[in-house]
Amino acid sequence: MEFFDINVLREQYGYLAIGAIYTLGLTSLSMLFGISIGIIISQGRMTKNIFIRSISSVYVDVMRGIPLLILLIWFFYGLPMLIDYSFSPLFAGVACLSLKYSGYLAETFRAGIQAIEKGQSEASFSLGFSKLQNLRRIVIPQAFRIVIPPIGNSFVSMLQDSSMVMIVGIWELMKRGNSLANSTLKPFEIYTAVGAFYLIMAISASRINRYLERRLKLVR
Amino acid sequence: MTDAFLAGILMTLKVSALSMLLAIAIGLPLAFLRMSKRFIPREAGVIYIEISRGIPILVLIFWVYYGIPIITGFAMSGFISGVVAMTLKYAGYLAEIFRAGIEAIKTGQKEAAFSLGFSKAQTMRRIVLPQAFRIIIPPTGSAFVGALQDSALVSIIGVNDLMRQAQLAVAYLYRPFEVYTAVAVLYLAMTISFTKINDYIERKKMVIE
Repeated sequence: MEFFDINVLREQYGYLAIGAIYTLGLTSLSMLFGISIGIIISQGRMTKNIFIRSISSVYVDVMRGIPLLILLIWFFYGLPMLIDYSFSPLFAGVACLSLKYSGYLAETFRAGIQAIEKGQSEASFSLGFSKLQNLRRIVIPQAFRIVIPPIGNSFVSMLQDSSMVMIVGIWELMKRGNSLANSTLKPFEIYTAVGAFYLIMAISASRINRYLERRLKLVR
Repeated sequence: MTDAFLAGILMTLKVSALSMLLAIAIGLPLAFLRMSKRFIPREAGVIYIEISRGIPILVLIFWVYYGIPIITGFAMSGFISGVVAMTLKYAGYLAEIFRAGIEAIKTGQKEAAFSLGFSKAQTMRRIVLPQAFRIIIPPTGSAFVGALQDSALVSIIGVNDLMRQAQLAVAYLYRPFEVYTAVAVLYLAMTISFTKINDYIERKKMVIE
């Protein structure tokens, strides 16, 4: 028994690399949906209407508190029983990642928007800006710089959490690694390679994020 | 059914608490390694932290459970593999939390202690750590809530935690919607209670300062 069989990786790295591309695509798509839902929820968290505010706050607590694995299994195996409709694995995976992260992102956006001083909004109102104009022209452009680094961190976490969607059968990096480990009987080599793929993606993403963070820092 | 769920909850708490304790025990020395002035220990700390934070917990669990035994010829139970994988992962996070807490204590405090004749170890133990402790508690609590959620993954390698009890119950009752909803609520109850306790501790700490 060899200590580390590099040949199995030489034969199979292409198969894993395609999985890594799937993982990246899946994560980017879920991140986009997560950001969209997160922005809406963050607005709900900040409205004066107590009903909408409580619902948004419960939504954030639930999404942040429920393990992704449970959300995935509930969505893919539980919910179809109730509504008598089955989702495709890809839809279930992207939906669950988006829902789970929209909770974190909503709080990121809320913090970013609240970090912009009130005086700014007051000044724009006194200049005759409407509420929507104020949000679009004054608050969001400034909040954008504040929220980019935490969004980048969420992306790195989601990249890793996306490995859990193998449970519903999406052929991304983890699922491919799992099936290769079973077919080649070389789990140590295969999972080391899978870990290396994730590590390279995570480290590159956080380097890019750190660069953006430096570039976007608000000069006060 | 309730007995099985109760046993599952206990196992979930056991896996997360044990992993967290071990991760704290490894994370603290790791934080000092990371802050070392010497190149080799510092870089070793940096590399460990980057690797543990960049590899998904699921990959670590599979790597420890399926990969390590083939190399060492020594099989570990699902429980031990799960705890080892979670510990490896969270030690990296905690090391960074501890480092941030320790570095947040102003150098003036240390200089004052040195000028009063405190040794380096004494300064760390009597001046820096007690203050850093307060800063460290809230993010450590959040990390625990994260560990509680990630611990559901050990069900995949056959540990009888809450998630696995749910899967067994579904196989037996064939009521996936009801069972998984109930389990989701149980997980939520756990994570939200711990989050609230953590928030409470954080507020209390603010009052003292």
